[in-house]
Amino acid sequence: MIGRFTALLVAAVAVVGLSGTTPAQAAWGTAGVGAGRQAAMTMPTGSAPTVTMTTAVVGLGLVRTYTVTWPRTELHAGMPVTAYRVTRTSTLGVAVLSGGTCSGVTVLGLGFPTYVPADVAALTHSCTDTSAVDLGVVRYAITPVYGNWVGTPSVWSAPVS
Amino acid sequence: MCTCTDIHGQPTATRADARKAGRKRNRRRAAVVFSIGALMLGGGVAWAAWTNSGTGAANAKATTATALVVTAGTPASTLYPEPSNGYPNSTVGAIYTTVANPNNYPVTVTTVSVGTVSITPQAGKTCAAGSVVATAASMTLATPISLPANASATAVTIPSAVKMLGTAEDGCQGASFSAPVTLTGASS
Repeated sequence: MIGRFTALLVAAVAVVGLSGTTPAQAAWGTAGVGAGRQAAMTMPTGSAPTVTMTTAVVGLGLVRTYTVTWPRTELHAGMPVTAYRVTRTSTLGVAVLSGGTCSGVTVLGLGFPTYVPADVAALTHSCTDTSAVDLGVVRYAITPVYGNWVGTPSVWSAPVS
Repeated sequence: MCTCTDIHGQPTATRADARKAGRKRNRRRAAVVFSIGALMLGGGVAWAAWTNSGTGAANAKATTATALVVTAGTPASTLYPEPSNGYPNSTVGAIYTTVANPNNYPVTVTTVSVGTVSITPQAGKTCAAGSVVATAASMTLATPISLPANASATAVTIPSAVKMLGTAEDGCQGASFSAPVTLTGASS
């Protein structure tokens, strides 16, 4: 009788004891502190545009329209930039966009006007620049913009006149 | 002897007394067994934990778990201002480290916390402090990091750990970022 009672008690204690050890086996916590590192990307260089020029008589003058077309620029695959700066150089006048859509809107904080495509994901973008005066030989360059980040201007386009 | 004489002299009362004495002994034995059992229970937790990680000296190491060794890794991706709809994948905001496990048991890292990010802009540029921040004070890894026992420094990528504010200035281009990273895990 005593032996049976004792055996039962020991068995019960053993069962409880063993079951209680399981959580302890998984509780060997450890940690480590050190440095993690990351780096920021740099903006890509713009792609050189292609430019065509057309003329039209408006009133007594001749208006020149330059159509500037360039491929989309991406930060990385599938992530296009959000805007472009279109710049012009000409042999007979200052490099200021005189009209058309290339001037775009001025993005606050950038300090210069940019062209914001209606669809930044489009494979190619295009804008027009008009001038009522003869600019001589004209060339264009495209600079990608992403937020406040400004990339490197493309090489100048082939000259048009 | 005196008790024996009493028992022989009074047989009926003696059997009752004997049963009573037997019950007392049983209770005493039960108490002793229970006490031993209770001691085993208390000690059993520790004993079983020791055996969890091996025997002898290995157990001693397990009780004083050595910290994981975390060092700066080499970035395999780059960061840029976060778009309004978030980064397209978890790689952009990743943090790169190397981790060594000096313990003689494998460890699984499940939680990561990232401290204040230090910014080192490129020469001649500025990038305001706070332009890059941790995405959360503490994050549970969707895919825990498994480190074998005694693992040497292993490259570890912690996805979606940091982000650059969308208003980050132009001077943040090409900057380097470093942040204290705490990896927390358990033996596995």
